Amino acid sequence: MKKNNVTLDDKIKDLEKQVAWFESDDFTVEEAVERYKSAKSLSLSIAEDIEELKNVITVIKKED
Amino acid sequence: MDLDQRQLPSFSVTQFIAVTNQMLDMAYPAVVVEGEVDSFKVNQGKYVFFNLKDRESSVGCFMMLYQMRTPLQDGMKVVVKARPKLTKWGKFSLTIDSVRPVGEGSLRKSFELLKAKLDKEGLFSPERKRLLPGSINRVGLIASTESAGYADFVTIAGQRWGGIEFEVYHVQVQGESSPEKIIKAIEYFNTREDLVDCLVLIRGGGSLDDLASFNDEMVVRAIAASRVPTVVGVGHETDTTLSDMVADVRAATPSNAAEIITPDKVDVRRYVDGLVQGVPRRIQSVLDAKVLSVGGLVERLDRSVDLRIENYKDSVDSSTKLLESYNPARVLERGYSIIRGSSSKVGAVVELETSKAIIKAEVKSYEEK
Repeated sequence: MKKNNVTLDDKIKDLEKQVAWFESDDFTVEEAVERYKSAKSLSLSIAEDIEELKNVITVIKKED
Repeated sequence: MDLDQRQLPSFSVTQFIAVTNQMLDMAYPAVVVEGEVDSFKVNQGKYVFFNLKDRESSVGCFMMLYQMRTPLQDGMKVVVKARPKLTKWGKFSLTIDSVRPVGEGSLRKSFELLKAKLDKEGLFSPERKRLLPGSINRVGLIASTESAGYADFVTIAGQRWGGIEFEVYHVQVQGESSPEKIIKAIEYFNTREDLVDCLVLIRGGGSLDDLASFNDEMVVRAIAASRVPTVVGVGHETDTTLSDMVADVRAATPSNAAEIITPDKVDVRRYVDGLVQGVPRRIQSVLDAKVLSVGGLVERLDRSVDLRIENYKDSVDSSTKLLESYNPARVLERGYSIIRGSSSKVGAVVELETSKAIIKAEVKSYEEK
């Protein structure tokens, strides 16, 4: 699960970076459409991951 | 020696005291006595003496200062777990194993005394508070798995987020042995090589007596000493225990503790969607700017072309005027005439053209200037 959460964090950071490109000086209209499609696809993937993740609860010790 | 003396047990003083203590140990290896503290004092910074009394009687008590998990004062009602003993000086006393205040008044008093003591040491100072990690993936949870507070915590955490590993250390959260178990759990999470990201201590609501474990001095110190950042959520919103106060983050309730350590997936989804939704607006804004820019360039081009045409027209006009000024007809209009034929021979007939007529004339004389 830590791996899943790390992957999710990485995906969100990646999406932020992709969206930041649209505000940067590197923005070109020619590349914009493809990059938008890529960002949109990533956001959908993140949404899927969020719904699929479940917490894992383990009782490791019992002191009664 | 008479018959009665022969039947009675006979001891030296030391033997008598030893036998009496043996009998006490057999009959009452441990007792629980409730009473009011009186004549409390601490000798040499480590020996605690007080009397435990009720309306009619009083018994001396002794304990070591380090065993005193909660401050005591004259007038406080307490319950002691103790061993009755006769000292070698013949004094009967209770050797205390544990003592705790009872009753709302005594519990409140004890709480205030300990709070003042720990506050003076700086344990509640805001400077000591650590921030929780930005991303929490592994949590050490200390709670009673049989409690409603635990169930609420797990439910809320599950609703808000997934992918977190909760390692649960089940303990009793009230009762005499509860503080030791809580301390053991804190030490367990603090002595592992792979530390969790944060430690959460929770317990549902209850009376001041029910929450006493979380006002225990050693529990509070264990939380303060934790290497792992701590979140404590004990009782209801209005309850504040010393464990709450010393934690890095205080949660109002176990449910609130779950809210503190987990992001809300609804908020995260909204944030992610918001990131992407802004992009088409940005593209449109850039395109609009480019259209405006092109429009501006076309306008400049138009103006430039117009200007050039104007300049060319002016130039052509000037040339036309100049050319017109060289027109022979204009010269004739100024009174000049054109002579055709050999005008240097006397008697020759020449043709004169003026602006209005053509005249034939004979040359009468000719002189060079």
